[in-house]
Amino acid sequence: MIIPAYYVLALGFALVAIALAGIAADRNLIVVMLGIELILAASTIILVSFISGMQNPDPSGVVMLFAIWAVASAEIITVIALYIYMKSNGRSFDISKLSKMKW
Amino acid sequence: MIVSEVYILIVAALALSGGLLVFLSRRLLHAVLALTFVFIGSALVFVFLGEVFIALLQLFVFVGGFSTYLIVAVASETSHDSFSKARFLSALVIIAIGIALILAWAGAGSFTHGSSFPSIAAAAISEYYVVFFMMLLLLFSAVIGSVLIMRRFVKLIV
Repeated sequence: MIIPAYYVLALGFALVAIALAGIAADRNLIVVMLGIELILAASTIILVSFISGMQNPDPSGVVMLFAIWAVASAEIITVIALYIYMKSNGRSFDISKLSKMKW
Repeated sequence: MIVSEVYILIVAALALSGGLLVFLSRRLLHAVLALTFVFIGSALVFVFLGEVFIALLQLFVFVGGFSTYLIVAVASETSHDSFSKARFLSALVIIAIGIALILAWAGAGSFTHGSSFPSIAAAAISEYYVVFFMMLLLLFSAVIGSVLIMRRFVKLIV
């Protein structure tokens, strides 16, 4: 099935726009991390649309795809650690109150 | 409008509504469930693009993250009642994803015939092994950083 590439690109950029707007508007740490996850999913869509559109795909595009997946996985690990730490210490998930980088 | 355009518009509507619901839903559990619509939509887009193998990999990678977020969402919202609707829903979703993954794994051999991705990925790993090593370092440092953040709990456990 052949689908127009600009539809896929529009979908990817629309998802990035939604995620950026949501991150800017929301103050919950977990929801902000979900937004970052959304951006990574959208960037994967954009990247794969380029890879599939090429006659002879360059391996560097595939490397970038794996890099996005690695960043997404690393983000999840960090979020869970932060969640457990903040939940157990009774800290707020409001990111506007997170002014210190080290406690 | 041809059929493929209708398909992509339906998938785009699914993914975009999921993306909007991530931020518009009031409960964290609903936000996490909405994120699954985005992942499913992106996997369907990859299938339409002819890259079924990437769609499978995408599901495999993000199912771990999704399950983890789901556990966090349930842990933060459920009470100690005998029956929790949220717990039941999340368990149902995880079981459904597990069955889908097993079916996908069983059919992966037939899916990869039309895709050039596996051969390109093999070439990329042999050519850009330094980058892959750096990704490994990134993940390793993320694990170390997480352990450092939770060092009090690690001490308690050990």
